[in-house]
Amino acid sequence: MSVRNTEVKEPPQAGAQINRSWLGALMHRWGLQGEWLVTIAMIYIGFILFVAVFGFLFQPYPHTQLDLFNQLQPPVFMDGGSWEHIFGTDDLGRDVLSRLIRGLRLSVLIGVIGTAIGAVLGSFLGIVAAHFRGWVEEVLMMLVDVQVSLPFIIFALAILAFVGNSLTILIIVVGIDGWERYARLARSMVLSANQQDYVLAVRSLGLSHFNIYRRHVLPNIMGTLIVQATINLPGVILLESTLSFLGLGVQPPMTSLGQILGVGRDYLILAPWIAVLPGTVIFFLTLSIAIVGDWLRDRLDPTLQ
Amino acid sequence: MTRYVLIKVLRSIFTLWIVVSAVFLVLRASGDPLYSVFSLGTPEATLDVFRAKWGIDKSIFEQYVIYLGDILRGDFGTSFFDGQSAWDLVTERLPKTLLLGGTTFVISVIAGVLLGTIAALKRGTVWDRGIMTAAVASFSMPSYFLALLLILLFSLKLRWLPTAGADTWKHLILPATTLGLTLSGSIARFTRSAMLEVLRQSYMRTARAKGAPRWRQIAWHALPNAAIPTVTVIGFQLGWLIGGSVVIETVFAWPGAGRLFITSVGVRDFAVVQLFILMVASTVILANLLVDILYGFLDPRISVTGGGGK
Amino acid sequence: MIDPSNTGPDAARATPLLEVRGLSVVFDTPDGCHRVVDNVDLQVSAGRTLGLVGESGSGKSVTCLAVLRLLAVRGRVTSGEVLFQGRDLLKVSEEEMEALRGCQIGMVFQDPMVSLNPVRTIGWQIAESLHLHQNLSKSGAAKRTLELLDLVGIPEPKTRFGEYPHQFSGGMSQRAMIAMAIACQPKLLIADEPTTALDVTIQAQILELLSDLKKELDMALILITHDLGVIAEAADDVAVMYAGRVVEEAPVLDLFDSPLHHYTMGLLNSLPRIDRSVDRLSAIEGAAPPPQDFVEGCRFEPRCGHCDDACSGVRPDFSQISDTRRVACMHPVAAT
Repeated sequence: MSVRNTEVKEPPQAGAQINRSWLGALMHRWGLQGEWLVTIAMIYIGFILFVAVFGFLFQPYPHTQLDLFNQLQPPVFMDGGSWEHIFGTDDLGRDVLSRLIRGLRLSVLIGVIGTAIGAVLGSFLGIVAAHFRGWVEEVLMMLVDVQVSLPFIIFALAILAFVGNSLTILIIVVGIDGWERYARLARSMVLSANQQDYVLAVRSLGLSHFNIYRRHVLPNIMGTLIVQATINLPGVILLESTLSFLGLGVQPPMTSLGQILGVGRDYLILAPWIAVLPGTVIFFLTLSIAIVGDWLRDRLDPTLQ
Repeated sequence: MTRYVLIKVLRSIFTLWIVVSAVFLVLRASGDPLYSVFSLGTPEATLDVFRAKWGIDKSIFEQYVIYLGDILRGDFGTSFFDGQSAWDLVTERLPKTLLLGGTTFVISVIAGVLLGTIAALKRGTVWDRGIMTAAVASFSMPSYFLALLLILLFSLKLRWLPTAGADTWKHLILPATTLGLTLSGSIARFTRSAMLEVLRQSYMRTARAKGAPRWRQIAWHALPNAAIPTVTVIGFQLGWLIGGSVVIETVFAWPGAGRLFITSVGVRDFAVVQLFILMVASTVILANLLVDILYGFLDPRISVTGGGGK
Repeated sequence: MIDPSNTGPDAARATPLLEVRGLSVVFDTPDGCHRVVDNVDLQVSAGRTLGLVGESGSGKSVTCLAVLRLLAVRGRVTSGEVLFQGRDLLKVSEEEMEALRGCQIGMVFQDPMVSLNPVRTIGWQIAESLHLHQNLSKSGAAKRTLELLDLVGIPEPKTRFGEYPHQFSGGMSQRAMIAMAIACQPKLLIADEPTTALDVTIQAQILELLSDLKKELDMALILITHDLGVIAEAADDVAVMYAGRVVEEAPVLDLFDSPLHHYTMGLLNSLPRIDRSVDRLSAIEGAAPPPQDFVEGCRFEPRCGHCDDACSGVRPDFSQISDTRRVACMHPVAAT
């Protein structure tokens, strides 16, 4: 009898049975009972995704439209605000709500594509390392060490400044960040998967390497990689927003949340809303993804750390 | 033990070489730096003079060899802009950066380890949930945004603390808090999981069966074991700290090397950017090397097996 | 404190050093509470060895952890008394308990390799017991530690003192664990599967060491094991546990000679013996149930070949067969 304290004592489940609204029912179905924080986070992420995809339908003004008579107008909930610009205007009289919607779209886009690039690249290199072993593995793992030990943002800034700045380069740079985590994970998982009987069995059946990886190994490690991607996503979003904040990320006329914040920084006294609104959106977005990512990890793959 | 250290040292040198080469590639492959210094109408003849002077008229391979040689000799070139040596420019600002980084690091490690330990010991309670939620929130927060919020509250509204500069200890509070919150958040998280892992080990039960009081179990039995993985992670956080301080120095106009880096990046000042990256890389690599060696001291199992660190 | 009348085997039950009465332990898990130790009575006197035998999951380890109040957060004692020298350990304060643990009651755990702290030297860990419970100077504690290392048969104590657990073999680690447990000359030593993780050749040495120490220090010893061979070798009295309950108690010879409970019988039949010739060993059908599958009534009933309607539904009471023998079975072996 092992006397381990691995589970926290759960509250009695009686309450969950009685009060089951539709939300409660949904939460129960997704294994979310009692996880209010996770539920709220998911709802927020859903809302953000909706705005990112369909927000342009509700966008009151083009995000670049100047209104020089209404510069730095406060949002409606502050003194002097009007319904004309619900979230106020910036230094050039541009509607902050419209800019938020556009910025959000680009931030989410860069975050998701960047994460996908890192995940695919890293996983691929990890699988390559595990497949070839030997010096290939050695070199790749040393590169992993290099990546782990350096503050990537410094490299990102240098690359963007010297190689040049376009949306494509930005997405690639942002995507490179974090590849090493997938590489490590994929490598160790493939190494152990290759030892499994079923892989040995299909190998003896004469399936090609490619097919073994595609049909047997990859599906098995996919879940873990996706959880890792969820955990990495907030970091990628933060990296893009930081680069844009410093003026080396998204360039006008395009806009992202970080870039709006960078502008708002200069008007902190006169017009704090320009900085505070996008900052709040980013913060709750990354927080929500982090909460959901942790929850996913604990649920699906407690071995990940 | 010597073999173990030797392997680590060789690996570190290799890592540094990769960084040096990567920096060279990124910075040199990015086109003629002269165009960012001189205006478009400058006659080619003038440009050629400067190309020859800065050694960028040669082939890329020649440049690489010269570049490596220069670095080995400790010659890091001069700034394109004010002609000062890059070394002087960077080292001049280093003390301020070290002050900010050092303060943040010490406070974050203490706070992070303490909070992480508390959360682990009070697992599943309000304390645990509170600390862990705060930790997640702290590193979900964009550091520059936190900086702006703190400025807004403490400098602009309450007028307690200055917004920019580095003249007095008061100037240190806001930047150090901003950086420290994020750092201690992640350290707390790592400490907690390391601590939980240790707490469920059999030797903790042995300590209890011996009649050791609670505090003794924690301080003498659990912490030394939990320190082993935590120290590694804290070593990795150093790189993060430097990256973060670049941003924070900029926001608070802290006259350190990080801010110099951002301005140099903005004007594509070759030599300074290059030197800064090299310095950061060597610092982080050196720190990781130290962590590895420290690891050998913390974990008696390593010194005998020799090279069993991974 | 040692009562001379306790030394003879017949007087073993006169004034037990440790008496567990009606101890029940419940584990809280997300899917409900499980009573993993159910109304257990045990006793052991100075100079005697009580063998506590049962399959894994039978609650033998939990019982002993409960005696020392070392249960994990999830486990809690719901009823019962643990009388140690007449004092109920379940009622004393945590500070008093700390003073007792490692001092009056020592404990040795199953896997010595993971039960020793990897970052502390063996010497440090043994000296810690002394430091905690005895007012010894640093050099005094070191000197005593060397004596202890010698006592438990660790060669070259001076070198071994400064070594770390990973430099010790399994057998040597267990000797070090024992040295730690007996450092303060406890009245009671609880050994939880002390030989399970060790090589067969080492097992005998460790058991011998335990018996020698028991005699030398006049301790009471509780030996937890799933191995009847260990019981035969080292125990004086035996309590057989099944699914959280004690099902049979007997002096060791009587138990092997004429088991009364069908479960004991089954255990013995699964052992190779030299005094009886059997064609093949028989194993008990089925497996020991996990706590959530514990049945009402006799818990062995689902696996027992001798049960009838009387067995399910009510928990069988102990029938006192003789002064030293008890069995909890509706149809004990001898009666059938």
